[in-house]
Amino acid sequence: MTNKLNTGPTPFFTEMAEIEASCGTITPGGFLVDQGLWQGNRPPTVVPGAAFSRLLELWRRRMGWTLEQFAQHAEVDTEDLLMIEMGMGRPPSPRTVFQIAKVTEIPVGKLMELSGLATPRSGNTREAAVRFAAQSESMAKLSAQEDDALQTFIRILSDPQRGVDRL
Amino acid sequence: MSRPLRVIQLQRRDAPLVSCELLAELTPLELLSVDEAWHGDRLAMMRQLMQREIPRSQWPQSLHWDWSRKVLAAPQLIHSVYAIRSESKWLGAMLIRADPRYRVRLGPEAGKEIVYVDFVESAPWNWPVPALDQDVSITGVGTALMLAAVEKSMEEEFGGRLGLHALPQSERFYEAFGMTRVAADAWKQGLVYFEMTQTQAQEAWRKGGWT
Repeated sequence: MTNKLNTGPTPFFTEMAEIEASCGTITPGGFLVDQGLWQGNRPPTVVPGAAFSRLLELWRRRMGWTLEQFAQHAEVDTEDLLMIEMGMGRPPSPRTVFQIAKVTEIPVGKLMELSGLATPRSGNTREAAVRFAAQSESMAKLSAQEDDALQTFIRILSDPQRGVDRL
Repeated sequence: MSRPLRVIQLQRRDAPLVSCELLAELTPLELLSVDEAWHGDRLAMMRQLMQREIPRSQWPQSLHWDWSRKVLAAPQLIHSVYAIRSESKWLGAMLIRADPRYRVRLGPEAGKEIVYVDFVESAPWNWPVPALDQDVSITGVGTALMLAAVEKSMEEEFGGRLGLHALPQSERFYEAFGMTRVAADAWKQGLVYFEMTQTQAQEAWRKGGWT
């Protein structure tokens, strides 16, 4: 054994130890999420929310639109779109999702599920959403892989066999 | 065998300091020993909670986190397991990894490697469980393990840089530890990602680390 410590904990250590005791647990949750041991205090629509953010971002980039141009086409606030793409804040308003569905021609029911405004009815869609969100990276230009992922995901969302709500 | 790092002293609530061994890279057999010890503690706690008819909402969240078996069941261990032991009793354990998927997101160090902290737990008999009038008896187990993670990051020449996703109830601990709140990650169930820069790590080590 090396570096035997002969003195007690430092003031910083003692302070941290007291905070730790008052927290109940200080564990990070990375492993718990990966293993499905932590569902959190939030509704299970949060992960699909990531797919919604990524879907809009990739769609917009494929169209070559700025956020402002996307907002104009969809007739929604630029700030709302920005918040969605950054995955921040509460779920968007139903009107915003409806407008986005119109411009992207993706079934509104599926977009409601992805955005966290409706409970997903299909496990397949949820799995596809997680896969999609995990595969795509935020890069300036759409890679071929991202383009493939986007097209596959839209095909799944538009499949009438998966209980899709048509516009 | 695990790698003994050092002897540390932790504070016992009702007694003098207690000497503990800080161990790195536990073997699967040693992890099994942790699992055996704590599984029995969990069952005993569950029995007490049931006998006292404590509502499930007041049970410790971590009671059903069967993490050690998940690790043992993995085809290959991707984590380094650290632990603290005193007089043959396991006090705490930590899962960390140097995973190229996790890298610094903020500032001039963006893109550099980090040690990612996956999980930290102390022994069930050392959890605060108000419903059973049980309090923490030895403090600082998680703090010591976090400092060990900083040291590991220094050993790996990552400059002490760390990253982790905090559970909501532990966020204030990581802020006090000196880490920066980066963002809530939707792909981690909305958990907030925290990062420790090289400067922050050096500061935490200076104030709380061992010589």
